[in-house]
Amino acid sequence: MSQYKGIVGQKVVSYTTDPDNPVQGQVWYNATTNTLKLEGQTTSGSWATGGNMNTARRRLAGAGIQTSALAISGTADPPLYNQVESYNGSSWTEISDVNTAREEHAGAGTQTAALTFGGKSGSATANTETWNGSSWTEVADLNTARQELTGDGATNTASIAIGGAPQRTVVETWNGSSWTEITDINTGRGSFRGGAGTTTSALAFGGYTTTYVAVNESWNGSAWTEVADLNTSAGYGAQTIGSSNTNALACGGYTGTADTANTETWNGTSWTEIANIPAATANNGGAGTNTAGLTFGGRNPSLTNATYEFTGAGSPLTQTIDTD
Amino acid sequence: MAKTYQYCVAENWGKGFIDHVESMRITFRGYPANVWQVPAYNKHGNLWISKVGGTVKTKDEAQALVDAEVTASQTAWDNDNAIDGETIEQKIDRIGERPQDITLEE
Repeated sequence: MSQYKGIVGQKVVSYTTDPDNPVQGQVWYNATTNTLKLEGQTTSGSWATGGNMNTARRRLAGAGIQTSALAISGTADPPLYNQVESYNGSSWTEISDVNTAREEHAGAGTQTAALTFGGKSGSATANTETWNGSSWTEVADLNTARQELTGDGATNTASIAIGGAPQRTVVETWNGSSWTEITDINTGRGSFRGGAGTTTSALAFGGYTTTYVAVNESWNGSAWTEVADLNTSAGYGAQTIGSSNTNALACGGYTGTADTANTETWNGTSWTEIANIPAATANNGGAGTNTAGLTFGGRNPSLTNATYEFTGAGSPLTQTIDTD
Repeated sequence: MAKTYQYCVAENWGKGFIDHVESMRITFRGYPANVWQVPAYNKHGNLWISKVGGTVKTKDEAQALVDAEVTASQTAWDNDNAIDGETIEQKIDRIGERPQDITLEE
């Protein structure tokens, strides 16, 4: 049998701390923890806990990526919160509040250039606010005030607002200064299970019409097309996980009978069920992509401040080698 | 009948409570009242309970803890009648669906 030295050309090296940038397949001994370590990769998608939010809440919005995200507003039934928290991949920090506390709204953009729009602040609101990395500023309203919409967008100058309750088909895009109505979605609905993408490549999936649905629609910049349904019909899932109409993650939500931990990934053609979130959660926030996703807050059934990080198959992962 | 799952109570402290290696090795299910389900008779499940300082519970003990929290949530939902004349549909729109009972598996 080949030995490590014969394959790699050197013996297993002993370190007092794990090396900063191990290469794929590298094995080392951590003399501090007395463990043998391997730089491998994830063999399947998996969830791990992230840092807990400072304020447990639900019906919140998200923006950004897994290691650089925002959690925007939300509710504790009541009060409505105008707090915003920023995530750095390990912990959440409170930053400047939004001007209008709201719930069931949407978020878009990045940690330093975000947009939040619509939702409910006592009643349905058209209010839109933009974030420049240091403060929130009210900008032009949506044309149609509505709650339970979904939306996304790469920046605070290019975002999309889709549908909303009750059974709305309206879609609007944001160009940095105003909202413009564009082609409607085919199935009017709110309480989406999720939405993802940009103003030219978006996806809107699940939601509530008069029942919870699995409907999935894809936007190519000029038309909405019904594409393959979700495996699990649900609404009120994590919004904003995904980067285009070929990259989205559906996680959590409410099926009509229970909160769910179900997670599905979208590749542009079909949904595939993958590892569930560790705890069933609805009304959760989301950020990131279907290979590096983030979900936070929500209810299960009490309010939660938990954060879960999703990593897709094939991602680098340092493992302790089991020597038992 | 041999049990499939074991239960413990452990508070999710955040980063590192469940890591990706653990998540690939075993399936976790979190429930109200900080109740966690992991596979029974499983070394990795036992190691995780030890790591998080979990207090092992029987299925019935865990069910009682979950029931208490769900019942409290249901009672809070039932008693939330802040708006006179509100229909059930309007109440659901305002505060969401009534929390459902949760049944743990053996």
